[in-house]
Amino acid sequence: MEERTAELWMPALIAGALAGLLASLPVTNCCCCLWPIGAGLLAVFLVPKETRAFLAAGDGAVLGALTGISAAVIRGLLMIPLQPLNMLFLKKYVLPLLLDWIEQAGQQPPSQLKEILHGEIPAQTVPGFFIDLLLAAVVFAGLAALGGVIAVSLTKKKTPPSAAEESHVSQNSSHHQP
Amino acid sequence: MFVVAGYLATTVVALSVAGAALLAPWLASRGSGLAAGLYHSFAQICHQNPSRCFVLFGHPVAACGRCLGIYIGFLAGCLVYPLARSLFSARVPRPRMFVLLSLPLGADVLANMLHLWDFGNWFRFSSGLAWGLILPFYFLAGLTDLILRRLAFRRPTT
Repeated sequence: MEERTAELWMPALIAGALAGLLASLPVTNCCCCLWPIGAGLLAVFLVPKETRAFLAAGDGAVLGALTGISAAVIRGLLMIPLQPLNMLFLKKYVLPLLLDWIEQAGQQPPSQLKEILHGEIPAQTVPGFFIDLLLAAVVFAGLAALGGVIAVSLTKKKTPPSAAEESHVSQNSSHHQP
Repeated sequence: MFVVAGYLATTVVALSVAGAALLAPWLASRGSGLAAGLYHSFAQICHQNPSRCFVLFGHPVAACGRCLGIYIGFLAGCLVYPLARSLFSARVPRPRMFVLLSLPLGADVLANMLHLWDFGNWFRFSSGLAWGLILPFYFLAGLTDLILRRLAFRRPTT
């Protein structure tokens, strides 16, 4: 695994950059967990075929986690210049639509929504940025790891038990032998 | 032991995430400042559109119906995992099973985007629940594989 790590970095960075970009742009940033999981999937498919054939579920998880962390960092950095654009989009299109939906449903919209729509949105603080980055890194890493394992399972016709699993099973079975 | 610890940690995290999503509206109804933090945390990966969230205690749940379904499905998957396979197995489900359980969610997302249908929050929740159920079978398999290989790497060869 250790010698393969270098080969895994490039796909992780490419897929992470793409997911980070999509997760920071207006419109595409509302797709929930799609981008981190998709990035994990994409990263595995970007690994050269000859290496991909030897990837086990754990390798997919590590590759996915690296991808998720890259995506979170790139998203965090892109959010700094894109924040005014995102806020403009939110105030101009998303919030009026939300208020309409809530009122049509016969509910009372939360007062915070109206405050955001008619007032100034406070700028993010430096500690807030790092807390968000850390939180996004953890969440994205977990989701992308999931995508990585799914991709490994989808690229293999039949997943054989890993060497470690086999050795563990044989060790356990040897304990029961007289 | 590490494998069991990994499984328990995953289950506890899944329980915490699902619990936190449901706890946020209760905290908001009591005026607690913690609620804002929880809503903000879930906003990292959920649009939190109030019309697509279930309402509890007069406040929307911190995640949309679909995301909540995924979280609760993931937790349910973690709980049934030891009954379905050994904790020490790194075997993943068949691709056709993944496709089958992803179909309702994928079709609903696509149809909602194209305005073909809108079956409401309970359908979103159910399709998310079905998809979430299978996810631990991948996550835990990946984690188990990692732990077992790390242990095999550390084990001295004589």
